[in-house]
Amino acid sequence: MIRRRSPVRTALVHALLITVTVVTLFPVALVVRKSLSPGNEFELSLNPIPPKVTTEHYRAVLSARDFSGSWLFGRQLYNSFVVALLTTILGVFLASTAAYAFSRFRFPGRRFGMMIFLVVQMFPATLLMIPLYVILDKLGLLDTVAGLVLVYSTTAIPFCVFMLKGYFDTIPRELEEAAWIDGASRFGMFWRVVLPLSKPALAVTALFSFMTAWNEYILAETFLSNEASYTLPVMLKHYVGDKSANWGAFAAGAILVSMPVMALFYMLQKALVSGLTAGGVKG
Amino acid sequence: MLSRARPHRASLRGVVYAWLLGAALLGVLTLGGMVRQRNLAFKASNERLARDRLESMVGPVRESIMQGQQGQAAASASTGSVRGATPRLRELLRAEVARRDVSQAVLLRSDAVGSSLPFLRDVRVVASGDSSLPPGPIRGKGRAASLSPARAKELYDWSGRVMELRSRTDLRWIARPGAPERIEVGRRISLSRGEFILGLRLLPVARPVAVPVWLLLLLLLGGLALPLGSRLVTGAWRWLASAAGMALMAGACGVLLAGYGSWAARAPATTGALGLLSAGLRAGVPSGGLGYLWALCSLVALAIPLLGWRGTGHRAARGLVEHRVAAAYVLPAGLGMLVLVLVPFVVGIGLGFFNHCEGHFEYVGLANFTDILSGGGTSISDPLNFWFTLGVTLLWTSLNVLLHLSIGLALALLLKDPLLRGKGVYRVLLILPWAVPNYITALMWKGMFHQQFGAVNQLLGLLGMEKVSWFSHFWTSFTANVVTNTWLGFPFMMVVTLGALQSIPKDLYEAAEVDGASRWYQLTRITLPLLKPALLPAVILGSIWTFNMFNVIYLVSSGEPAGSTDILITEAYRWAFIRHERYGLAAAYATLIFLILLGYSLLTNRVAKGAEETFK
Repeated sequence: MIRRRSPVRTALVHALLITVTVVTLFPVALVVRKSLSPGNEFELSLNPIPPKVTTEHYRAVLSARDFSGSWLFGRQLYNSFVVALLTTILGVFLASTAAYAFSRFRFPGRRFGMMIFLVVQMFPATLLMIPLYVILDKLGLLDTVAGLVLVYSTTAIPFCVFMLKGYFDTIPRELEEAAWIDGASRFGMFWRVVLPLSKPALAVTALFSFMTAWNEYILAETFLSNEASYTLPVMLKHYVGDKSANWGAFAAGAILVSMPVMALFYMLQKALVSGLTAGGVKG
Repeated sequence: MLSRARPHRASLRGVVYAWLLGAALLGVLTLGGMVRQRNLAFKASNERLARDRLESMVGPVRESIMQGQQGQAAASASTGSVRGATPRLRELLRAEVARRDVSQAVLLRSDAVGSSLPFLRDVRVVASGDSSLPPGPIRGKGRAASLSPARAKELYDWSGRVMELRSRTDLRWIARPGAPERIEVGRRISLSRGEFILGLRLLPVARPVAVPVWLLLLLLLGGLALPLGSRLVTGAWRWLASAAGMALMAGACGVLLAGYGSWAARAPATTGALGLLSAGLRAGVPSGGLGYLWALCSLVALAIPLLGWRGTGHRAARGLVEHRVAAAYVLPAGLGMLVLVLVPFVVGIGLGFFNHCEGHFEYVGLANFTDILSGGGTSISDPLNFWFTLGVTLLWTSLNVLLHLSIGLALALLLKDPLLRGKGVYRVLLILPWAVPNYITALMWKGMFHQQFGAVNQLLGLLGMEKVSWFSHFWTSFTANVVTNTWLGFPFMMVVTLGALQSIPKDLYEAAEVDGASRWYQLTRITLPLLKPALLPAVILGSIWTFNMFNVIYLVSSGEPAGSTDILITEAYRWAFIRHERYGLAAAYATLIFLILLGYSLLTNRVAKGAEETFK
């Protein structure tokens, strides 16, 4: 039984929510407007479409070239994509088997292992940046895709393990038992029964790993020094360096780079919240 | 499993293994001690040779320079050059190089005497006994004219070391891992017209014996394979594995003994088993990356007999066999985590005990930590002081979490009303900040706070206020950071709260209404207590994220003004990558951050468990 609200109260609630929403959207609207309007100044306006629309910033970002004339945006897009893709593959592959073991087997060290994964998830790779830098330097992996993939997997694996374990737990064991009776091996049960059933969770996990790697900035900034090996976030930061700031190009680049991942985020956010909080509660 | 049927035999075997391994370890250490003793003797004789050779050179070289200067004085009194003497000096050095035991002889001149390292810019080769080394300046890292870059770099490094020798001692054994085959010595020759350094590079007459690290590794792996290998497999394979482990161990010992035998005949008298053992322990700590490996191996080696003795190793091995399927599934990710997290973690903590200077790591014990914790001579109000930064970090974290939580909670409570129209739209729009990658958020807000054309100052202008230079005062700069991070972080709390609100049973509120409870009463007595178990983990997670929110601090204020708005993690970053590559100090910072966070999560974990039990 719920009481009917008074119209005044409803109006007040709406007014409050609209104010907060406007404040929230304001910076984003400014960036959209900036990317479409000429010049370098942020105009104070709520309307994301400027009176005079120009695509000059977009064209400048997309056609950036280095001194030798190679196409920088394409190169950096390729770097970002390859790094994110390889991180996803490595992360999901390693995590799915581990998550299966944590979900289905009872073995000594299971709780301890889960705890390690949780603790690691809480401490970001930024903390490990210095040893990672020294190690990558010694291994000659600075400025390479391989080095970055290795580092990003560190952050991806624990989260993937938690997400997938949570999902595997919901798949009834009877299905595997049926497969067992039909003569499937342990690996067969995992490969032919559990994995196909958890396609949605695998997709979420993979997309999330992809998103994290795509969005990572500081490790890439630290480990990459060559313009041609930059990922997109590093490229964006360099548009607004200390000496010269090109906010128009930054705004256009930011929209180009973040649109796909923001779309991904909206697809994923429900699953993401349950994954994050479940991991937290179980610790 | 056979081992389960006969536990007493298994444990007996374990004790035997343990003793075998312990004996092998002692043997290796003793051998290491002998190697070290021998090397010390070699070192002494090589030093004697080097000193004699150098001293015999100093007299003639000094004479030549003085003669050259006298001859030159009439021509140009001001330059103090040794041009007149150069051919004679070159002859002298060449003659020295022609002797078999001197491989290189160089006379260097430094024009900026007395300063510490920067003087290396002004080093000039006066004369050399090496035709590939023309006289002239050695500039920077390998850009001297008429030298190949690699050669110039080598020379630069060498001259640097010789100059360094001059400033500390005249003679020193340089046994770097890269060039153990050479002795480099330097001698300062001070004259009225300047400072010269005579450098010699000698071939040692007696060679040191390298301690073979890989042998120890082989030995340890063999020792591991012995107890574990025999348990992982059954039947004939078990015997094969045991035999392989045995063979590895025997092989390692054999190679080590053979190597020892080749010089044992000339070994000096030993100083007793204990002396050798301690010498071995010292010999067993090489510098650089091998040092970590060595330490790790020693730890493992020490742990194995201990585990074997307690039977733990065998239980673990048996557990591994029983759960081998599970182990096989965990193994890839486990190995990945080991390589990607554990190794950097251990290396990171280890690095905290070293000082890094121009590519070399030097062990300094706890100096980095005491330096940080004592403030390193800075007062507590100095932005470089650890306690100042810690204070800023704590203020930053608590303020942000408070703002995230209160805004998120308030919005969720507004949005939970089932009769509210368009709540889906609000929700979708309000989580937008979470969707924007956070480095873009940070850069975007940095632009918004720009003094000239930032939106915030324009807004202030509309309200008739002065433009604020946001990043030149601590509090404004800090506020800019907090505003950015609040914008970025409240949607997470809001979404978590919304999720948790749905799990609160509706009938509780209905019962409260029937009892005539006010809204405030419902909020404080029903909603908040029931939200607590779900919000606590989110708050813990959120505070750890904020504590390490690198991107916002680094990109928005970048610590301005003067590093005062830096939090611990950006401070560590600055030490490592901006201020002179002080990796050791930065690693010590990271270790301290880790300890703080560990303490925090242990504490809150206990609190969270307590809360969970209360509400279950």
